[in-house]
Amino acid sequence: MIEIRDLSRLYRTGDVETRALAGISLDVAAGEFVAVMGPSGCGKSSLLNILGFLDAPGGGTYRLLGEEARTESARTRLRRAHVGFIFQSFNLVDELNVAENIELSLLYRTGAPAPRGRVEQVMEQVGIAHRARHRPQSLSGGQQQRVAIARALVSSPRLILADEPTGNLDSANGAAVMELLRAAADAGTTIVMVTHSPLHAAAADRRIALLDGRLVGETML
Amino acid sequence: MRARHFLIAWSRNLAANRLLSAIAILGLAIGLAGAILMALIARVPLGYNHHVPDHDRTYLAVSVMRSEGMAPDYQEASPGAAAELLRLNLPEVEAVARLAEAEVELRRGARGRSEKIYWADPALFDVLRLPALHGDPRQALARPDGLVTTRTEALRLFGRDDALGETIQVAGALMVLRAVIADPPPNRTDLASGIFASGLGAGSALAALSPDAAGTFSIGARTYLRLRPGASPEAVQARIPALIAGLLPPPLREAYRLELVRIDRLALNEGFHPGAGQRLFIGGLVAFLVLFIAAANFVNLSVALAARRRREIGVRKASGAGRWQIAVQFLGESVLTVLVATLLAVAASELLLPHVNAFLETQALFDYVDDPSLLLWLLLGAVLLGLAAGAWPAFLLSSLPPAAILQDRSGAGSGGALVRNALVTGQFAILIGLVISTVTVHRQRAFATDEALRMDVDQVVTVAAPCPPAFVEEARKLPGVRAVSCSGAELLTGEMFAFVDWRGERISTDLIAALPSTFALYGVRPVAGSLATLPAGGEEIVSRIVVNEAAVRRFGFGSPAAAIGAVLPIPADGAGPDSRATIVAVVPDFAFHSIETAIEPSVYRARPHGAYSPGLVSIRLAGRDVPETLAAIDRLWHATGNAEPIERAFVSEQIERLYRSLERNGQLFAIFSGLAIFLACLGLVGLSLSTADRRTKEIGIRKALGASTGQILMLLLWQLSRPVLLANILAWPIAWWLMRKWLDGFAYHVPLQVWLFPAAGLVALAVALGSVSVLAFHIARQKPVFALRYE
Repeated sequence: MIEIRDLSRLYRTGDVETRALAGISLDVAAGEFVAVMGPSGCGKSSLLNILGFLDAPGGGTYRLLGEEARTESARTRLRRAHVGFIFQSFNLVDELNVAENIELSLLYRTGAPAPRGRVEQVMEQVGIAHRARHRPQSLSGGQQQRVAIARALVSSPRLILADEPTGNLDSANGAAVMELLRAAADAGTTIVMVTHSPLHAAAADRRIALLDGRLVGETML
Repeated sequence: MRARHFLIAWSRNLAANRLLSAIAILGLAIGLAGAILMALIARVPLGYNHHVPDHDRTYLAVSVMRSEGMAPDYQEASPGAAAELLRLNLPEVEAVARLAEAEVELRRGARGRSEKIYWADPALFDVLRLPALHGDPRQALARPDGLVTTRTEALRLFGRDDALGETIQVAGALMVLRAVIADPPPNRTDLASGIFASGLGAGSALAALSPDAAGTFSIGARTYLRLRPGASPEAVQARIPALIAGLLPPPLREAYRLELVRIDRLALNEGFHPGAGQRLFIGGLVAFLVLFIAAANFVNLSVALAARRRREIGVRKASGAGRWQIAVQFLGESVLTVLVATLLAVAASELLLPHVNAFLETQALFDYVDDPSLLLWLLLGAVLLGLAAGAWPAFLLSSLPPAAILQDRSGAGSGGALVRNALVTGQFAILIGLVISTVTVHRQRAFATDEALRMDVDQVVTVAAPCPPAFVEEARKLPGVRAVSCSGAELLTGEMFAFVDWRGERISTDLIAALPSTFALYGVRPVAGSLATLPAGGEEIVSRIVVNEAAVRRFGFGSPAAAIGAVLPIPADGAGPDSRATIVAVVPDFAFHSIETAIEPSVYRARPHGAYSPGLVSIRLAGRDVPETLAAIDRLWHATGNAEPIERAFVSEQIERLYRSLERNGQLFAIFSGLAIFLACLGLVGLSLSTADRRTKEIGIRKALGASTGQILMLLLWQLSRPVLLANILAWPIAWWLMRKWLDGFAYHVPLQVWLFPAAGLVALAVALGSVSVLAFHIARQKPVFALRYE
């Protein structure tokens, strides 16, 4: 599913160079649930950005389903076709209600249109259907993250990237989010999740650790 | 689904930012309304006669009389015999026809009334191929009883428009309606009547246009001609003087000119409508500039508002939206918002148009029901404006890196500061330029109607009369009258000149007959010599004269004093011998005619009472009980044996009429400057509101580091002043050049004063600071804790 070979990424701000990723190689199989751990600034988010085609690798190669994206438009195409995102800060659009936020994810998809009632279906799935017409500001953090998960699931992506999805939640809500992700993985979706929580990482099939942009450890469960 | 979703996103965002959206839309609507009104006004002269096929090679031959020292006199009529001469001798002419206007009796059954009609040559509708509704207008006038009308006239005269074959008595002869043409669009035709009777008819004024008697000359017909495609109008024009020379008495051959004016350019012809073209250009330019200000506001606010939607953009990109899709979304939103503003502007234009027409004395119409293409143009304009205004925000937002936005790293937040500042600078440059122009035009107008006259015309009433002694004597005794004097009508019109032979040169000189008391009445004092030695009652053979300073210079005297005592040969008016007259006084240059032309060398002669014809009685009122005094003058006029109605007018009113074009320019500038100032305020308030939350954090940090409210206020105001100061550098040279050029169109004008430029800059600065200082003060005063927590 995911093949990474010798991946690196440099950021340059003025005269300062930051090496976010240095020579990472990694394979993730289809349907695998991978947790990425490591301290702040170790390159977790940079890795996720590249996996999600939000950013281009500085060196090395990244293939998703055997395809490598060399141009901005190729990255947009692959992102559109295969990737869903879940963020720590939810990133829901304030001006749209719950159903509309979820629907947003279907707007740009190509290929067969989503079946009717798909939005309602995922809202049921994450338990937010009773809040469909509410605006994000009126929801609790846990509810907001469920909406974000529903938004990631609605287009049935092959790969879901979760950036500390439980970081802003209490433990009960965090556990609920992990259950939803586990269920998605069991249904065959590949999931890469960045987390600080060993407890939540334990729910994954496999854990990898990053430090200073390098892969330093890997645990198969 | 996609369209609905985008509409939801658009409307929710407008609603979420109500105040700023309202400012953006309202400002744009005002700018658009100004542009729409200006376009509607411009459409009238620019589309003049465009309903006539081949209007670009169809001409009206007009008469121009030139006399030295005066603006040429334009008449739409031409000599009746010219048409035939042109047709026979100019191969470039494809068709010629004449019209003669007449007031005749139209009688149908028992009802008859006097109406204005045209007698037309049979070829008229071959020259003006106006679209026919019924019958064939090109054949209709070939028979002496042929009649053609417009649809409206057919309905009025016969009750229906397909009334072919119906008859009506025209000037006593029975005529038959043989064709009906479509109505010309209102205000876009030079034809004053919609009834065309065959010129071959019995009572035809065309048939009655007999050749002029020897030594006389008259113009009684409108001559239309169409040139062949590709024919050069200049070449045709060049051959006309020789062709028509035979029609003119020899003294007129130099002065008279038959000029071809394209019928679609009649409304902007400088001879018939002086200043119309310039006014249209200025109006169009200023409306465009104001629209630019409004559009710049709109762009700036769109960017500021869209920056608040960075998260939405990030999410859309993460969901697979490409750069192009984000750009299309924002372009679409921009077009939608501009359409809303256009709708408001259309409503405002409809409400305002009657007032604007009344104010500018124009006849613009917003007739989109009759002319749906108007709406199409409007729609096209709105879409283009929406795309232009949305292009930069769309580009800016679609290029935001999604990774940075989504992970709450601030980045690319202040993008486009350069463009934003450039737009604000551009707005203020326009504002400053408009203020300078407004003040200059206003000063020139005040100068023209007051100072440039160099005489006191307040409370002076003139009566057109050749100095009737009884009336003049009695008027002097009226209680509200301070002084009465007589002069020739040329005192006002300047239309009397002669050549004075002086040191081997023939000098064109205005000859003005006036009693010596005229000078005192108008408050004119001699700069040299004395008026006392002039004969108070005038003299039959002129021996003593007064000249103006222009004459002193033209005749080559070193100074006004040096001219005193010189003897000039004065040509006699009408019969009688020339006389030699001594200059006894020199007066300053003063004139009642437009300051667009220079004051000519003038000689003032005192003539006896009977010699003022056409004459002018000037009466200075005391200034109290004016209505009663005027009524007394009117009674006196009839009581002293004058049967015809009195022709009286205030000189100040005549002068105002002279400067109406100048006045219009002034009003136009004042209105648009006001709009520009309002829009610039609106834009600045909006812009500072939209950046306030971004600035709040910065200010919190500054305050935490010890800055006082005053220091922060200064900082904010200084940052705001910079684009305004820069705008001065841009505006000054352009405004200087344009106003210089405009003023040079006047023989006498106010100097372009230097203080005006910094003053206009200060006005702009005050406007800018005033509109945002309340807000700046509010931000600067906030507690640092609040400011730091804000984000």
